[in-house]
Amino acid sequence: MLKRIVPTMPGKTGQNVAVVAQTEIDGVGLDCLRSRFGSPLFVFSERTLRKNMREAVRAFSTRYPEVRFAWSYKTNYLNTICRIFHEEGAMAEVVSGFEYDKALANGVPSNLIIFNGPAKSEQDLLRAIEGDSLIHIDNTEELRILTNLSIEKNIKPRVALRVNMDVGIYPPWNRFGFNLESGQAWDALEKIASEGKLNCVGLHCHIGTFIQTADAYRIEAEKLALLAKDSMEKLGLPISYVDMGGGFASKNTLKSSYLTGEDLCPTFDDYAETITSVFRTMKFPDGKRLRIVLETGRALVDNAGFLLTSVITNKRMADGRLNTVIDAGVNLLFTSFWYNHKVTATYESTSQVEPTMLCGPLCMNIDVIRDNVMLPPLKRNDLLLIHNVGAYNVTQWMQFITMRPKVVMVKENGEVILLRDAECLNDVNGVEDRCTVN
Amino acid sequence: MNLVTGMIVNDSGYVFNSMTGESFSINQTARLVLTLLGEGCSKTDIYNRLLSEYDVEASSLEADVDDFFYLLKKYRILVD
Repeated sequence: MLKRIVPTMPGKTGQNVAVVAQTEIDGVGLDCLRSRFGSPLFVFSERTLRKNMREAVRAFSTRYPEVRFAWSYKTNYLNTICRIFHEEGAMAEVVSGFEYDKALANGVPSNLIIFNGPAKSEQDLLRAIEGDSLIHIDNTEELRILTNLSIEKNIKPRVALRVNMDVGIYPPWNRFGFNLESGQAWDALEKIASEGKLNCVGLHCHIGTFIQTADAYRIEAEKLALLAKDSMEKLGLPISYVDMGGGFASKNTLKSSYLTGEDLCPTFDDYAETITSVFRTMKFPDGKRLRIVLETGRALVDNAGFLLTSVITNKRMADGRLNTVIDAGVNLLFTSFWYNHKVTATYESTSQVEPTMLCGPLCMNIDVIRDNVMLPPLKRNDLLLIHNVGAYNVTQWMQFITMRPKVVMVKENGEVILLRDAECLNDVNGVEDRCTVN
Repeated sequence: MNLVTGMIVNDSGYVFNSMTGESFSINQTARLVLTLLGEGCSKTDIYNRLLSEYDVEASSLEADVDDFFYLLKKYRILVD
Protein backbone atom coordinates (compact mmCIF):
# COMPACT_ATOMS: atom_id res chain seq x y z
CA MET A 1 0.00 0.00 0.00
CA LEU A 2 1.24 3.43 -0.99
CA LYS A 3 -0.52 6.42 0.49
CA ARG A 4 0.28 9.99 -0.40
CA ILE A 5 0.59 12.27 2.61
CA VAL A 6 -1.26 15.49 1.92
CA PRO A 7 -0.28 18.40 4.14
CA THR A 8 -3.42 19.95 5.55
CA MET A 9 -4.84 21.33 8.78
CA PRO A 10 -5.21 18.49 11.26
CA GLY A 11 -8.79 17.62 12.13
CA LYS A 12 -9.94 18.19 15.68
CA THR A 13 -10.79 14.54 16.06
CA GLY A 14 -7.72 13.35 14.17
CA GLN A 15 -7.64 11.12 11.17
CA ASN A 16 -9.09 7.65 11.28
CA VAL A 17 -6.21 5.24 11.02
CA ALA A 18 -8.10 2.00 11.45
CA VAL A 19 -11.51 0.67 10.58
CA VAL A 20 -13.24 -1.47 13.17
CA ALA A 21 -14.86 -4.39 11.42
CA GLN A 22 -18.40 -5.57 12.10
CA THR A 23 -18.85 -9.23 11.29
CA GLU A 24 -22.42 -9.87 12.45
CA ILE A 25 -25.77 -8.33 13.24
CA ASP A 26 -27.32 -9.52 16.49
CA GLY A 27 -25.27 -12.70 16.37
CA VAL A 28 -25.96 -13.56 12.73
CA GLY A 29 -22.86 -13.64 10.54
CA LEU A 30 -22.85 -11.32 7.55
CA ASP A 31 -21.32 -13.94 5.26
CA CYS A 32 -24.14 -16.26 6.23
CA LEU A 33 -26.73 -13.59 5.42
CA ARG A 34 -25.24 -13.06 1.97
CA SER A 35 -25.12 -16.80 1.28
CA ARG A 36 -28.80 -17.16 2.14
CA PHE A 37 -30.28 -13.98 0.71
CA GLY A 38 -27.78 -12.53 -1.76
CA SER A 39 -26.22 -9.12 -2.11
CA PRO A 40 -27.05 -6.31 -1.80
CA LEU A 41 -29.30 -6.92 1.16
CA PHE A 42 -31.16 -4.68 3.60
CA VAL A 43 -31.04 -6.10 7.13
CA PHE A 44 -33.13 -4.88 10.07
CA SER A 45 -32.60 -5.66 13.72
CA GLU A 46 -35.82 -6.30 15.66
CA ARG A 47 -33.87 -5.96 18.89
CA THR A 48 -32.73 -2.44 18.01
CA LEU A 49 -36.19 -1.38 16.82
CA ARG A 50 -37.81 -2.40 20.08
CA LYS A 51 -34.94 -1.00 22.15
CA ASN A 52 -35.22 2.39 20.41
CA MET A 53 -38.97 2.55 20.89
CA ARG A 54 -38.79 1.59 24.56
CA GLU A 55 -36.02 4.10 25.12
CA ALA A 56 -38.08 6.89 23.55
CA VAL A 57 -41.21 5.96 25.50
CA ARG A 58 -39.22 5.78 28.75
CA ALA A 59 -37.62 9.19 28.12
CA PHE A 60 -41.00 10.88 27.70
CA SER A 61 -43.32 8.90 29.95
CA THR A 62 -41.06 9.19 32.98
CA ARG A 63 -41.27 12.96 32.62
CA TYR A 64 -44.89 13.46 31.59
CA PRO A 65 -47.89 11.19 32.10
CA GLU A 66 -49.76 11.75 28.83
CA VAL A 67 -47.56 10.83 25.88
CA ARG A 68 -48.40 8.84 22.77
CA PHE A 69 -46.19 7.94 19.83
CA ALA A 70 -47.53 7.59 16.30
CA TRP A 71 -45.44 5.60 13.85
CA SER A 72 -44.54 7.69 10.81
CA TYR A 73 -45.37 5.37 7.92
CA LYS A 74 -43.44 7.28 5.28
CA THR A 75 -40.21 6.75 7.22
CA ASN A 76 -40.46 3.01 6.75
CA TYR A 77 -43.68 1.25 5.83
CA LEU A 78 -42.49 -2.32 5.61
CA ASN A 79 -45.44 -4.01 7.28
CA THR A 80 -43.41 -6.07 9.74
CA ILE A 81 -41.62 -2.97 10.95
CA CYS A 82 -44.86 -1.00 11.29
CA ARG A 83 -46.42 -3.84 13.28
CA ILE A 84 -43.45 -3.93 15.66
CA PHE A 85 -43.98 -0.25 16.46
CA HIS A 86 -47.73 -0.84 16.86
CA GLU A 87 -47.00 -3.74 19.21
CA GLU A 88 -44.90 -1.31 21.22
CA GLY A 89 -47.90 0.97 21.55
CA ALA A 90 -47.59 3.38 18.64
CA MET A 91 -50.58 4.72 16.74
CA ALA A 92 -50.19 5.22 12.96
CA GLU A 93 -49.34 8.51 11.28
CA VAL A 94 -50.05 8.40 7.56
CA VAL A 95 -49.87 10.96 4.77
CA SER A 96 -51.75 9.31 1.91
CA GLY A 97 -54.65 7.01 1.16
CA PHE A 98 -52.14 4.30 0.34
CA GLU A 99 -50.52 4.60 3.77
CA TYR A 100 -53.98 4.75 5.39
CA ASP A 101 -54.81 1.39 3.77
CA LYS A 102 -51.49 -0.03 4.95
CA ALA A 103 -52.18 1.01 8.53
CA LEU A 104 -55.64 -0.58 8.44
CA ALA A 105 -54.17 -3.77 6.97
CA ASN A 106 -51.64 -3.78 9.80
CA GLY A 107 -54.52 -3.97 12.24
CA VAL A 108 -54.50 -0.37 13.44
CA PRO A 109 -58.04 0.69 14.45
CA SER A 110 -59.11 3.60 12.25
CA ASN A 111 -59.62 5.84 15.28
CA LEU A 112 -55.93 5.42 16.10
CA ILE A 113 -54.76 6.72 12.73
CA ILE A 114 -53.52 10.28 12.36
CA PHE A 115 -54.16 11.37 8.79
CA ASN A 116 -51.63 14.02 7.83
CA GLY A 117 -50.36 15.38 4.56
CA PRO A 118 -50.96 18.21 2.12
CA ALA A 119 -52.86 16.30 -0.58
CA LYS A 120 -55.73 14.27 0.84
CA SER A 121 -58.41 13.34 -1.67
CA GLU A 122 -62.11 13.85 -0.91
CA GLN A 123 -62.56 10.11 -0.99
CA ASP A 124 -59.76 9.57 1.53
CA LEU A 125 -61.12 12.31 3.77
CA LEU A 126 -64.54 10.68 3.73
CA ARG A 127 -63.05 7.34 4.74
CA ALA A 128 -61.12 9.01 7.53
CA ILE A 129 -64.26 10.80 8.75
CA GLU A 130 -66.27 7.60 8.77
CA GLY A 131 -63.41 5.82 10.54
CA ASP A 132 -63.23 8.52 13.24
CA SER A 133 -59.55 9.05 12.41
CA LEU A 134 -57.69 12.15 13.54
CA ILE A 135 -57.51 14.38 10.48
CA HIS A 136 -54.81 17.03 10.56
CA ILE A 137 -55.92 19.90 8.36
CA ASP A 138 -53.23 21.27 6.08
CA ASN A 139 -54.94 24.01 4.07
CA THR A 140 -58.13 26.06 3.65
CA GLU A 141 -59.37 23.91 0.77
CA GLU A 142 -59.20 20.86 2.99
CA LEU A 143 -60.97 22.77 5.76
CA ARG A 144 -63.79 23.62 3.33
CA ILE A 145 -64.10 20.03 2.07
CA LEU A 146 -64.17 18.66 5.61
CA THR A 147 -66.86 21.14 6.63
CA ASN A 148 -68.99 20.22 3.60
CA LEU A 149 -68.56 16.49 4.22
CA SER A 150 -69.45 17.00 7.84
CA ILE A 151 -72.73 18.66 6.85
CA GLU A 152 -73.44 16.12 4.12
CA LYS A 153 -72.81 13.07 6.31
CA ASN A 154 -74.01 14.63 9.55
CA ILE A 155 -70.82 13.58 11.31
CA LYS A 156 -68.59 15.85 13.36
CA PRO A 157 -65.08 14.68 12.43
CA ARG A 158 -62.19 14.79 14.87
CA VAL A 159 -59.59 17.16 13.48
CA ALA A 160 -56.39 18.96 14.45
CA LEU A 161 -55.02 22.08 12.85
CA ARG A 162 -51.53 21.84 11.42
CA VAL A 163 -49.57 24.96 12.20
CA ASN A 164 -46.19 26.20 11.03
CA MET A 165 -44.06 28.67 12.93
CA ASP A 166 -40.69 30.29 13.37
CA VAL A 167 -38.63 28.32 15.89
CA GLY A 168 -35.34 29.96 15.07
CA ILE A 169 -33.91 27.29 12.80
CA TYR A 170 -32.97 27.24 9.16
CA PRO A 171 -34.55 26.34 6.83
CA PRO A 172 -37.93 27.35 8.26
CA TRP A 173 -40.66 24.86 7.46
CA ASN A 174 -43.66 26.96 6.50
CA ARG A 175 -44.98 25.02 3.55
CA PHE A 176 -47.32 22.79 5.51
CA GLY A 177 -50.29 23.90 7.56
CA PHE A 178 -51.30 27.39 8.64
CA ASN A 179 -48.77 30.00 9.68
CA LEU A 180 -48.87 31.08 13.29
CA GLU A 181 -47.09 34.41 13.27
CA SER A 182 -49.07 35.86 10.34
CA GLY A 183 -52.40 34.98 11.97
CA GLN A 184 -53.44 32.29 9.44
CA ALA A 185 -53.67 29.65 12.15
CA TRP A 186 -55.83 31.77 14.43
CA ASP A 187 -58.14 32.72 11.56
CA ALA A 188 -58.63 29.03 10.74
CA LEU A 189 -59.31 28.15 14.37
CA GLU A 190 -61.86 30.99 14.62
CA LYS A 191 -63.56 29.70 11.49
CA ILE A 192 -63.71 26.15 12.88
CA ALA A 193 -65.09 27.45 16.18
CA SER A 194 -67.70 29.71 14.57
CA GLU A 195 -68.96 27.10 12.11
CA GLY A 196 -69.08 24.38 14.75
CA LYS A 197 -68.97 21.54 12.23
CA LEU A 198 -65.61 20.07 13.18
CA ASN A 199 -64.48 18.64 16.49
CA CYS A 200 -61.08 20.34 16.80
CA VAL A 201 -59.32 18.25 19.40
CA GLY A 202 -55.70 18.94 18.56
CA LEU A 203 -52.97 21.20 17.28
CA HIS A 204 -50.02 19.97 15.28
CA CYS A 205 -46.70 21.31 14.13
CA HIS A 206 -43.70 19.70 12.47
CA ILE A 207 -40.77 22.07 12.66
CA GLY A 208 -38.44 20.28 10.25
CA THR A 209 -36.25 17.28 9.80
CA PHE A 210 -33.04 16.10 11.45
CA ILE A 211 -33.27 18.83 14.09
CA GLN A 212 -29.96 18.83 15.93
CA THR A 213 -30.91 21.33 18.59
CA ALA A 214 -33.45 20.29 21.18
CA ASP A 215 -34.14 23.93 22.05
CA ALA A 216 -36.08 24.39 18.80
CA TYR A 217 -38.69 22.05 20.30
CA ARG A 218 -38.91 24.24 23.41
CA ILE A 219 -39.92 27.17 21.22
CA GLU A 220 -42.39 24.98 19.33
CA ALA A 221 -43.87 23.62 22.56
CA GLU A 222 -44.26 27.08 24.09
CA LYS A 223 -45.97 28.48 21.00
CA LEU A 224 -48.25 25.47 20.55
CA ALA A 225 -49.14 25.36 24.23
CA LEU A 226 -50.08 29.04 24.19
CA LEU A 227 -52.15 28.57 21.05
CA ALA A 228 -53.89 25.61 22.64
CA LYS A 229 -54.63 27.63 25.78
CA ASP A 230 -56.05 30.54 23.74
CA SER A 231 -58.08 28.13 21.58
CA MET A 232 -59.66 26.63 24.68
CA GLU A 233 -60.19 29.87 26.61
CA LYS A 234 -61.18 32.28 23.83
CA LEU A 235 -62.77 29.99 21.24
CA GLY A 236 -64.02 27.18 23.44
CA LEU A 237 -62.36 24.51 21.30
CA PRO A 238 -61.98 21.11 23.00
CA ILE A 239 -58.23 20.79 22.46
CA SER A 240 -56.99 17.58 24.11
CA TYR A 241 -53.64 16.97 22.44
CA VAL A 242 -50.67 18.70 20.90
CA ASP A 243 -48.82 16.84 18.17
CA MET A 244 -45.17 17.92 18.26
CA GLY A 245 -44.45 16.23 14.93
CA GLY A 246 -41.18 14.46 14.27
CA GLY A 247 -37.73 15.52 13.11
CA PHE A 248 -35.60 14.08 15.91
CA ALA A 249 -32.14 13.46 14.48
CA SER A 250 -30.72 9.96 14.19
CA LYS A 251 -27.04 9.16 14.69
CA ASN A 252 -26.25 9.70 11.02
CA THR A 253 -23.78 12.37 9.95
CA LEU A 254 -24.97 15.10 7.61
CA LYS A 255 -22.62 15.84 4.74
CA SER A 256 -22.28 19.43 5.92
CA SER A 257 -21.44 18.43 9.48
CA TYR A 258 -17.98 18.74 10.99
CA LEU A 259 -18.66 16.44 13.93
CA THR A 260 -20.22 13.00 13.57
CA GLY A 261 -23.90 12.48 14.28
CA GLU A 262 -23.01 10.25 17.21
CA ASP A 263 -21.19 13.17 18.83
CA LEU A 264 -23.64 15.85 17.85
CA CYS A 265 -27.23 14.66 17.96
CA PRO A 266 -29.43 15.06 21.05
CA THR A 267 -30.66 11.97 22.87
CA PHE A 268 -34.31 11.08 23.46
CA ASP A 269 -33.78 12.36 27.01
CA ASP A 270 -32.62 15.74 25.69
CA TYR A 271 -35.68 16.11 23.47
CA ALA A 272 -38.01 14.79 26.16
CA GLU A 273 -36.77 17.12 28.88
CA THR A 274 -37.06 20.14 26.59
CA ILE A 275 -40.58 19.36 25.40
CA THR A 276 -42.18 18.04 28.59
CA SER A 277 -40.82 20.84 30.76
CA VAL A 278 -43.04 23.29 28.85
CA PHE A 279 -46.18 21.21 29.30
CA ARG A 280 -45.42 20.47 32.95
CA THR A 281 -45.40 24.15 33.80
CA MET A 282 -48.13 25.53 31.48
CA LYS A 283 -51.57 25.91 33.14
CA PHE A 284 -54.58 25.06 30.98
CA PRO A 285 -58.27 25.79 31.66
CA ASP A 286 -59.90 23.61 34.35
CA GLY A 287 -56.54 22.11 35.21
CA LYS A 288 -56.70 20.11 31.99
CA ARG A 289 -53.55 18.26 30.95
CA LEU A 290 -52.83 18.03 27.22
CA ARG A 291 -51.58 14.81 25.68
CA ILE A 292 -48.29 15.08 23.82
CA VAL A 293 -48.21 13.17 20.53
CA LEU A 294 -44.88 12.46 18.83
CA GLU A 295 -44.42 11.35 15.25
CA THR A 296 -40.72 10.73 15.31
CA GLY A 297 -39.65 8.19 12.70
CA ARG A 298 -36.02 8.55 11.71
CA ALA A 299 -34.59 8.42 15.23
CA LEU A 300 -36.51 5.22 15.95
CA VAL A 301 -35.60 3.21 12.88
CA ASP A 302 -32.39 4.54 11.31
CA ASN A 303 -29.82 2.61 13.34
CA ALA A 304 -31.89 -0.60 13.12
CA GLY A 305 -31.27 -0.81 9.37
CA PHE A 306 -28.10 -1.95 7.57
CA LEU A 307 -27.22 -2.38 3.93
CA LEU A 308 -24.95 -5.31 3.19
CA THR A 309 -23.10 -4.82 -0.07
CA SER A 310 -20.35 -6.59 -2.04
CA VAL A 311 -17.31 -5.16 -3.78
CA ILE A 312 -17.42 -5.43 -7.56
CA THR A 313 -14.04 -3.92 -8.40
CA ASN A 314 -11.39 -1.38 -7.56
CA LYS A 315 -10.31 1.35 -9.96
CA ARG A 316 -7.97 4.31 -9.87
CA MET A 317 -9.31 7.74 -10.69
CA ALA A 318 -7.19 10.00 -12.88
CA ASP A 319 -5.89 11.80 -9.78
CA GLY A 320 -4.76 8.54 -8.18
CA ARG A 321 -7.68 8.21 -5.75
CA LEU A 322 -9.00 4.72 -5.13
CA ASN A 323 -12.53 4.12 -6.41
CA THR A 324 -14.23 1.01 -5.09
CA VAL A 325 -17.39 -0.03 -6.91
CA ILE A 326 -20.04 -1.86 -4.89
CA ASP A 327 -23.31 -3.53 -5.85
CA ALA A 328 -25.55 -1.04 -4.00
CA GLY A 329 -26.17 2.35 -5.56
CA VAL A 330 -27.97 5.57 -4.80
CA ASN A 331 -31.17 4.08 -6.20
CA LEU A 332 -31.24 1.90 -3.07
CA LEU A 333 -29.57 4.31 -0.70
CA PHE A 334 -31.40 7.55 -1.32
CA THR A 335 -30.11 9.01 1.95
CA SER A 336 -26.52 8.93 0.71
CA PHE A 337 -27.32 12.22 -1.03
CA TRP A 338 -27.30 13.98 2.33
CA TYR A 339 -25.52 11.67 4.79
CA ASN A 340 -21.97 10.46 5.09
CA HIS A 341 -23.13 6.98 6.01
CA LYS A 342 -20.85 5.02 8.28
CA VAL A 343 -19.26 2.16 6.33
CA THR A 344 -17.41 -0.70 7.96
CA ALA A 345 -15.47 -3.67 6.72
CA THR A 346 -16.76 -7.10 7.63
CA TYR A 347 -13.39 -8.67 8.35
CA GLU A 348 -10.57 -7.74 10.66
CA SER A 349 -7.65 -6.10 8.88
CA THR A 350 -4.47 -4.23 9.62
CA SER A 351 -4.57 -0.56 10.41
CA GLN A 352 -3.60 0.19 6.81
CA VAL A 353 -6.51 2.13 5.39
CA GLU A 354 -6.82 4.26 2.31
CA PRO A 355 -9.09 7.17 1.38
CA THR A 356 -11.64 5.58 -0.89
CA MET A 357 -14.39 6.86 -3.13
CA LEU A 358 -17.26 4.40 -2.82
CA CYS A 359 -19.44 4.19 -5.90
CA GLY A 360 -22.53 2.16 -6.76
CA PRO A 361 -23.10 -0.03 -9.82
CA LEU A 362 -25.25 2.41 -11.81
CA CYS A 363 -23.97 3.74 -15.09
CA MET A 364 -24.53 7.24 -13.75
CA ASN A 365 -21.93 9.73 -12.58
CA ILE A 366 -24.04 10.67 -9.56
CA ASP A 367 -23.90 7.17 -8.15
CA VAL A 368 -21.54 7.94 -5.27
CA ILE A 369 -22.26 6.46 -1.85
CA ARG A 370 -19.28 8.11 -0.12
CA ASP A 371 -16.96 10.71 -1.64
CA ASN A 372 -14.17 9.82 0.72
CA VAL A 373 -14.14 7.10 3.34
CA MET A 374 -11.20 5.35 4.99
CA LEU A 375 -11.32 1.66 4.15
CA PRO A 376 -8.90 -1.26 4.34
CA PRO A 377 -7.76 -3.06 1.18
CA LEU A 378 -10.75 -4.66 -0.52
CA LYS A 379 -11.08 -7.12 -3.35
CA ARG A 380 -13.94 -8.42 -5.46
CA ASN A 381 -16.72 -10.05 -3.39
CA ASP A 382 -15.53 -8.61 -0.09
CA LEU A 383 -18.46 -7.48 2.01
CA LEU A 384 -19.06 -4.01 3.37
CA LEU A 385 -21.71 -2.92 5.84
CA ILE A 386 -23.41 0.46 5.52
CA HIS A 387 -24.96 1.66 8.77
CA ASN A 388 -27.97 3.78 9.75
CA VAL A 389 -30.03 3.14 6.64
CA GLY A 390 -33.34 2.25 8.30
CA ALA A 391 -35.14 5.53 7.62
CA TYR A 392 -36.46 6.64 4.24
CA ASN A 393 -34.50 4.19 2.09
CA VAL A 394 -36.90 1.28 1.77
CA THR A 395 -39.64 3.83 1.05
CA GLN A 396 -37.80 6.26 -1.24
CA TRP A 397 -35.70 3.69 -3.12
CA MET A 398 -36.13 3.36 -6.85
CA GLN A 399 -36.23 0.54 -9.32
CA PHE A 400 -33.65 2.03 -11.61
CA ILE A 401 -31.22 0.07 -13.80
CA THR A 402 -31.13 -2.71 -11.21
CA MET A 403 -33.88 -4.45 -9.25
CA ARG A 404 -34.55 -3.69 -5.61
CA PRO A 405 -33.08 -6.42 -3.40
CA LYS A 406 -34.41 -8.51 -0.54
CA VAL A 407 -35.04 -7.11 2.91
CA VAL A 408 -34.63 -9.33 5.94
CA MET A 409 -34.98 -8.99 9.68
CA VAL A 410 -32.94 -10.59 12.41
CA LYS A 411 -35.56 -11.44 15.01
CA GLU A 412 -34.91 -11.14 18.72
CA ASN A 413 -34.53 -14.93 18.90
CA GLY A 414 -31.85 -14.92 16.20
CA GLU A 415 -34.11 -16.24 13.45
CA VAL A 416 -33.78 -14.42 10.12
CA ILE A 417 -36.99 -13.75 8.21
CA LEU A 418 -37.62 -12.33 4.77
CA LEU A 419 -39.62 -9.09 4.96
CA ARG A 420 -39.66 -8.26 1.27
CA ASP A 421 -38.59 -10.35 -1.67
CA ALA A 422 -36.30 -9.10 -4.41
CA GLU A 423 -37.99 -7.63 -7.45
CA CYS A 424 -37.92 -9.60 -10.68
CA LEU A 425 -38.46 -8.69 -14.31
CA ASN A 426 -42.12 -9.73 -14.16
CA ASP A 427 -42.76 -7.21 -11.37
CA VAL A 428 -41.49 -4.43 -13.59
CA ASN A 429 -42.94 -5.64 -16.87
CA GLY A 430 -46.22 -6.65 -15.23
CA VAL A 431 -47.49 -3.09 -14.90
CA GLU A 432 -46.78 -2.54 -18.60
CA ASP A 433 -48.22 -5.88 -19.60
CA ARG A 434 -51.53 -4.93 -17.98
CA CYS A 435 -51.98 -2.25 -20.63
CA THR A 436 -53.73 -3.04 -23.87
CA VAL A 437 -51.79 -1.54 -26.73
CA ASN A 438 -53.80 -1.14 -29.91
CA MET B 1 11.66 1.72 -15.49
CA ASN B 2 13.76 2.79 -12.52
CA LEU B 3 13.20 4.24 -9.11
CA VAL B 4 13.57 7.99 -9.15
CA THR B 5 16.92 9.24 -7.92
CA GLY B 6 16.93 11.13 -4.65
CA MET B 7 14.15 9.08 -3.07
CA ILE B 8 14.38 8.53 0.68
CA VAL B 9 12.77 5.54 2.37
CA ASN B 10 13.12 5.08 6.12
CA ASP B 11 12.46 2.06 8.33
CA SER B 12 9.11 3.31 9.61
CA GLY B 13 7.61 3.38 6.13
CA TYR B 14 8.04 7.05 5.30
CA VAL B 15 8.92 7.87 1.70
CA PHE B 16 10.09 11.23 0.42
CA ASN B 17 10.41 11.96 -3.28
CA SER B 18 12.93 14.80 -3.45
CA MET B 19 12.22 15.35 -7.14
CA THR B 20 8.60 16.28 -6.54
CA GLY B 21 8.66 17.17 -2.85
CA GLU B 22 5.87 14.72 -2.10
CA SER B 23 5.71 12.43 0.93
CA PHE B 24 4.13 9.01 1.21
CA SER B 25 3.54 6.27 3.73
CA ILE B 26 3.99 2.62 2.81
CA ASN B 27 3.42 -0.70 4.49
CA GLN B 28 5.91 -3.56 4.87
CA THR B 29 4.96 -5.23 1.60
CA ALA B 30 5.37 -2.00 -0.32
CA ARG B 31 8.78 -1.50 1.30
CA LEU B 32 9.84 -4.95 0.13
CA VAL B 33 8.73 -4.10 -3.39
CA LEU B 34 10.73 -0.87 -3.37
CA THR B 35 13.77 -2.77 -2.08
CA LEU B 36 13.44 -5.34 -4.87
CA LEU B 37 13.02 -2.59 -7.46
CA GLY B 38 16.20 -1.01 -6.09
CA GLU B 39 17.97 -4.31 -6.60
CA GLY B 40 16.94 -4.27 -10.26
CA CYS B 41 14.10 -6.80 -10.13
CA SER B 42 11.42 -6.59 -12.81
CA LYS B 43 7.68 -6.43 -12.17
CA THR B 44 7.39 -10.12 -13.05
CA ASP B 45 10.23 -11.04 -10.67
CA ILE B 46 8.52 -9.13 -7.90
CA TYR B 47 5.16 -10.72 -8.61
CA ASN B 48 6.71 -14.23 -8.47
CA ARG B 49 8.59 -13.43 -5.28
CA LEU B 50 5.43 -12.18 -3.53
CA LEU B 51 3.41 -15.15 -4.79
CA SER B 52 5.92 -17.57 -3.27
CA GLU B 53 6.29 -15.63 -0.05
CA TYR B 54 2.68 -14.79 0.82
CA ASP B 55 -0.50 -16.84 1.12
CA VAL B 56 -2.40 -14.94 -1.55
CA GLU B 57 -4.52 -15.73 -4.58
CA ALA B 58 -2.71 -15.14 -7.87
CA SER B 59 -5.51 -13.01 -9.34
CA SER B 60 -5.73 -10.86 -6.25
CA LEU B 61 -1.95 -10.37 -6.14
CA GLU B 62 -1.84 -9.48 -9.83
CA ALA B 63 -4.45 -6.76 -9.31
CA ASP B 64 -2.61 -5.41 -6.27
CA VAL B 65 0.79 -5.36 -8.03
CA ASP B 66 -0.72 -3.66 -11.08
CA ASP B 67 -2.34 -1.06 -8.83
CA PHE B 68 0.88 -0.48 -6.89
CA PHE B 69 2.94 0.00 -10.04
CA TYR B 70 0.28 2.34 -11.40
CA LEU B 71 0.63 4.49 -8.29
CA LEU B 72 4.45 4.40 -8.43
CA LYS B 73 4.27 5.78 -11.95
CA LYS B 74 1.43 8.17 -11.14
CA TYR B 75 3.46 9.72 -8.31
CA ARG B 76 6.68 9.68 -10.37
CA ILE B 77 8.47 7.31 -8.02
CA LEU B 78 9.05 4.94 -10.93
CA VAL B 79 10.37 6.72 -14.01
CA ASP B 80 11.65 5.85 -17.48
